Amino acid sequence: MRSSSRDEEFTAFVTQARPGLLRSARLLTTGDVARAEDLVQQVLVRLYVRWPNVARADDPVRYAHRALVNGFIDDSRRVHRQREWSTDDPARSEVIAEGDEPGDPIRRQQVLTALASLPPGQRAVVVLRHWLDWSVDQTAHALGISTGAVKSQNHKALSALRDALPELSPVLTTEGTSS
Amino acid sequence: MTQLHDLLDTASRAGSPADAQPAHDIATDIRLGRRALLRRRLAAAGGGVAAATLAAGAIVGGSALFNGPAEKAAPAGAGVSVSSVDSATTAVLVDADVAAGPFHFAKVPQGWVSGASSEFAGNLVPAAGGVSQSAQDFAGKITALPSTQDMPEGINTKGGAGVVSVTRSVDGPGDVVSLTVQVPKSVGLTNAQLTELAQSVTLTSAVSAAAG
Repeated sequence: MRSSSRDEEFTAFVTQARPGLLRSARLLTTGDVARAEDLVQQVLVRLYVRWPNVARADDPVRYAHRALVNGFIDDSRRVHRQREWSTDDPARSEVIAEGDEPGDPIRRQQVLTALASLPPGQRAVVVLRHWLDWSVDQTAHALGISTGAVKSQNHKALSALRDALPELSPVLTTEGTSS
Repeated sequence: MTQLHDLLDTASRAGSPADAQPAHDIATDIRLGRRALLRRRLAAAGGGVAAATLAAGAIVGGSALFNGPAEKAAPAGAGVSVSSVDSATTAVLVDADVAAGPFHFAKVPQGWVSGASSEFAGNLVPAAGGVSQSAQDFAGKITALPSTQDMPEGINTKGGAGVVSVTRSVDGPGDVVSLTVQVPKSVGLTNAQLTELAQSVTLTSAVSAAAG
């Protein structure tokens, strides 16, 4: 594949997919903006390298989210994280996320704090199952675990969220039955 | 959409207006992706030494100049492949005026010509062909690779898959401070010739280092 073709396709993909990836990354990193941005950039670099595979995927955005979640879990296993710094480039193509206006700050912080109480694996399950609305099978495939493990982690995660957010219990109880 | 989804929707939003509209530079993603791709292709080509020069903080176990054993190899100009590294004719290094992209070679092994190159790598290829036409596939090619890392100078004969490399300091362009020339052992250059070849390479301002 010619690099110019790869670059054009990649640019179009990033323009479409990055806002969603960044929002998922914010949930996974429980609001750590810098870590979320790093995580997304690391994933995008990996996708660029594997672009022929990404382009052939049935759903490239799903492919990207799968890479994001696994990148997050790998990253969480490292004691010391290394940041990859951006470099200036005169040829800039900027992406402004749309529909990303700040929401209710108190509720946002409550949910992020509750998510932070979950182990990375459970948090990943919650994001895939309840934010991206992936099925149990899709979540299991993405994380490389069994469907039983997905259900178990989902159950534990929702129980923990109930404990951390007692006022939200009715909402979470309803969700708990869907796993 | 469920209620939990709504909560996650709120939590996934930016925490402040400043975070909501970060100016993201796709060109940076592409640049980092190109570097990662180059490192991966270098490794795949067996250019262990050259790949190491591109890894931040890597140290090449380069021996002193003229320390290594003289290499014996195929006739210069023959089609060279990674699998043909052990023939037995010494190459002839000739004066030349060869531009491989933004890299200029004042000396080349006889029978070698300019190949597809990029701002990250200048390639010489056998005139007889037999190698990839991709500028980022270095198998069977003589490749000049700039680096922003201050690499130890000298010859390294311990690279993978039948390659030998020589590194020297350079002063630019930009942040480039080292230049490594990777040569298939099959070319048959002596250590003195390797050094002469590396010293003959000059870089124009279009050269970019692939090191992170």
